[in-house]
Amino acid sequence: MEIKGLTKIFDNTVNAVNDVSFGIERGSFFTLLGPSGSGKSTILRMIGGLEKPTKGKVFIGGREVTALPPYERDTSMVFQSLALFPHLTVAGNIAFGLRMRKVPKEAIQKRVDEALDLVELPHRKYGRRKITQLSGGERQRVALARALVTEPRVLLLDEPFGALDLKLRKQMQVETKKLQARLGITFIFVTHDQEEALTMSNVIGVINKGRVEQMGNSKEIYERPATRFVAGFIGEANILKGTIDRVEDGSAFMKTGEVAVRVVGETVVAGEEIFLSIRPEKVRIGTDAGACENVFEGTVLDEVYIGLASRLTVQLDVGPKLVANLQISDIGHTVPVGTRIQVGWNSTNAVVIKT
Amino acid sequence: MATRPADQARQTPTQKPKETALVSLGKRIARATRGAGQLRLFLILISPTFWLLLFLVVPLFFVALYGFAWYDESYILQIWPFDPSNYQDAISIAPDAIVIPLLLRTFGMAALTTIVSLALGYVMAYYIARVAKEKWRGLLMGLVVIPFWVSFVVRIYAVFPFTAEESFVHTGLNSWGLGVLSDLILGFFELGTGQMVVFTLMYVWLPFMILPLFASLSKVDPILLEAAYDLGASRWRAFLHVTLPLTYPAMIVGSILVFITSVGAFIEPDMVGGGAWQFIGNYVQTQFSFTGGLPQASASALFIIVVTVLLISAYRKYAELEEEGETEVRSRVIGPLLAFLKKRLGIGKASEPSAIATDGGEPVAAPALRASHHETPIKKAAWERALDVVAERAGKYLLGAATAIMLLMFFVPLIIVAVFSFNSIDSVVTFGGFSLDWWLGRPDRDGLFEDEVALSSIFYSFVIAGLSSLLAVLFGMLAAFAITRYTFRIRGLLRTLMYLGLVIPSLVMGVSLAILIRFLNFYMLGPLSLGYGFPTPIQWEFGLASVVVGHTTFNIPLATLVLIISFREFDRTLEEAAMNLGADEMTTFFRVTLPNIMPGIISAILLGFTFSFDELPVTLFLAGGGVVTMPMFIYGLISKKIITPRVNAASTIVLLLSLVFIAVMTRMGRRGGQLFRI
Ligand SMILES: Nc1ncnc2c1ncn2[C@@H]1O[C@H](COP(=O)(O)OP(=O)(O)O)[C@@H](O)[C@H]1O
Ligand SMILES: [Mg+2]
Repeated sequence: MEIKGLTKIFDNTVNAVNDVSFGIERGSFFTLLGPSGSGKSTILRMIGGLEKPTKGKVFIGGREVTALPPYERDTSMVFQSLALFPHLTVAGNIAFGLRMRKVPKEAIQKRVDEALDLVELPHRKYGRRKITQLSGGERQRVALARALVTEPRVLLLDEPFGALDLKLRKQMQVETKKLQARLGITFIFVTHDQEEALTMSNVIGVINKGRVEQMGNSKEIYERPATRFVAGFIGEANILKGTIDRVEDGSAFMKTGEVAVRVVGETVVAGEEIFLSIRPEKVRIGTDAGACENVFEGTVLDEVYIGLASRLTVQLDVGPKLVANLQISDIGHTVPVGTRIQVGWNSTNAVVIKT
Repeated sequence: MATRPADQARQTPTQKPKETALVSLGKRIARATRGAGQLRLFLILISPTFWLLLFLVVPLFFVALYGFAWYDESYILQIWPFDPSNYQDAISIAPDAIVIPLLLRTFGMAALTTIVSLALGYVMAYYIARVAKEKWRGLLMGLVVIPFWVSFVVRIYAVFPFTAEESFVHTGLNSWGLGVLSDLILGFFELGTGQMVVFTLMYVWLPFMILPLFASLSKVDPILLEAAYDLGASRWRAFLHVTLPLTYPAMIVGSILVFITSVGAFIEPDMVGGGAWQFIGNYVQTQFSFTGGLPQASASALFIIVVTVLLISAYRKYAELEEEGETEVRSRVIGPLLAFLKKRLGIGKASEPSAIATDGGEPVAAPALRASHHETPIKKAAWERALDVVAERAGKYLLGAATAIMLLMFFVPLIIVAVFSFNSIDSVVTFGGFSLDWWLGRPDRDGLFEDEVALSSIFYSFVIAGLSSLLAVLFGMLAAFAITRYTFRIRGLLRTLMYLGLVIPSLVMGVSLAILIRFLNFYMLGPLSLGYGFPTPIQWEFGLASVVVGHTTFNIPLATLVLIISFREFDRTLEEAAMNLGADEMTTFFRVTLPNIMPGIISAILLGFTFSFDELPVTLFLAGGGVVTMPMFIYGLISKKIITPRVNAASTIVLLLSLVFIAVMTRMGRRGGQLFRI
């Protein structure tokens, strides 16, 4: 599955998708992650043939399908609103794609039952039910079964769990991931939820304003964000802007304001303008900080309790503010606002970003 | 915090606002029935239920009863002992039988009308709801509805110029070298032909079909169609398997409305069909209007009643099952029907399963789905692909053109009617120049405004429409209040009464009410008054009162429906807030509830007014000798063949009134349209 230079301009003005290219290996779980309105759905719909690209090409299994109508493509879509047919039963919904393919009646019944088994809905109980008589989670499963029963090469899922509550959502995430691993069908999954993307995907493509910002697996995306957008959108990050002062023995020094900060020097040259991304959980505090390569004094401006940790905002004496996570090992441990404190980090825990 | 003077004033019990008599009566009743919910409900329900039972349902039984009536030697109508001969005649299939052949023709023509209306209505509703740009939708729907508010007598009259060879329409077409088109139009629009009758019925009642279809088609989520495409359906099949089934209920509603109305039609066939295309309604009317024909009229009218009641009950059953989410209704009702049609017409092979039986059989063990053995991509048949391309490229133009032609057919004739009321010569088909003679008159020519009958008909129309719409809103408000606020045992009955009142053919309503009044006069008012020593029997004469009763009866269901919507939309927490702030129930109703549902009340009054103003069939049966309304005046001139531009002038007044109505309704927002939301 591959797309090349895909571009979509709505009404001659809205550039929803801008020159997007990527290839997806057969059988992988690929996620398009991006904020709302970034063009994810549009990309997905162009792959499925529901939207005609303004420019660019779509290949499925090595065959170009750009001009083909949706019903001649080997893709199936799970819609954000699920789009289950209210006039049909559960079985009727699942059978729909098979009926359109003129599969014989007996075969349809068998495959509908299989599909219901696949999504763990007992078919004796659910087959004849009306869509309106199902709970949110059950509808979700029916939508999945309906898309899978035609055995597509590529399954497209557009924020399918958007309407579920947190617990059900987690459960469906796990099950969907398992199902994908078992069936070996290529899944293209769209979400704006970074946690969902990180836990489910083999490969993530981060989309912003209709462009791909970065492609990679969860770890790469999280630990090596390529752009400021990715760093800020996935997890949280302190971003410092500066200019490389000098490079020596694999380390470099970035000047931000009046201070110099040690950064990893492999990819930078002197005089270059860069950004430095430091995750709050990589910032050390108090006595731990002393041993770090970059150490600063500061005053606690704010403390927010977030359960696993306390999030401190520290005003450094040298200028910038820094957000740091303080692990709470003992109940009752707090750092009152106004406390003088030392913060620091090692250069290997900070990521150099060029744009 | 200091209390402001206004607050103090409100807290002083002596400074209550003045109460009208109605409010204080209401308060007294409310106080008296506090804690007696049943009693209160009874008081609310009694008048609308009683009215509808007495003037809508009971008369139907009298129709059945009078089918058994007979005339004695002195030509006095007798009921007892029953004489079954009228019914025997009515169901006779002997070669000289009158009723059954008429009935068969009526049903056939009504069915044809329904099918044509369904096809055309679907095209128009589909175009407006799903193809036209969103910003045009409201306007287009308005254009469909506007003709609906013009009396159908006027609308039928408006088509006449197209049927006359000497009309400017045809001389014009010929002079532009479009003789072929002129011949085509003349060939089709020929008075006295069957196709003209079907066309007229379709033309007049098409909005009944379009309104529910439009509402239903607008609700079909486009994403469902995308899902169908995605699952392998071509445009054509997606329409067939998704859009169409989702609109079945609306198709049924529209078809029932058009069918019942056509079965009960008599003015339309009379105006355009000539003697050759009489409907059962024409027979009922002629029998009814000559002395001695009442039993035959009743016996044959019963057929129309039975068909109406059967169709409504079937529909109610269907709707109930639909509401309960009964899956199988559609496949049980419509599936077999389609399969039957398909078999008959020889299209398609086996019917497709609409639901898969899942009982029995061993549970399937491991899923057999594998990415490796996926279906080969679908290859569509060439014709299906071609159809899709046509649908995508040309579909919207074809549908748009059909819709535009229909809309032109709605409006051009009406405009022509208005223009010809200013004709200077005595012709409704050739224009001789502009003058106001047909309105104001001149020495040798009576203008509309010089004609006393015309002037009194305007007066009567206003009085009847005003009274009946006000009365109907009063009853409708009580009924709607009860239906939306209480659950009670006769709720189903009340709703059925409403449906009945909405769809029952005017012919039946008129005839049956007339029979009821005759019965009351003959068996009750007459003997009673004589028994109490009156010198002459007191009679309920046909006239203003009977017409108002008739009009109120068909206006109550309309008003109730509109007000049900208003009551439903009204946020009841406002009432709770008012009572929380110290207002009693009646005060809350008059100061909070009523002002909030006022738009609904005004819509209901306007709606009733217009319906009543345009009404003809019921009026014909109930008016007696003294009362002539606008549509009656026009119809009278046309059937007496006194067709001069004066008819156009009178029609123009009806037209103008409808326009005023529409303008007011548009001002008030979308409420007019909401009535037809199903
Ligand atoms: N049919 C359309 N017409 C015009 N603009 C559209 C249409 N569909 C999407 N857009 C615009 O394209 C952009 C991307 O939309 P979408 O792909 O739905 O984003 P996402 O799924 O990432 O939230 C948005 O700005 C949206 O407003
Ligand atoms: Mg989206």
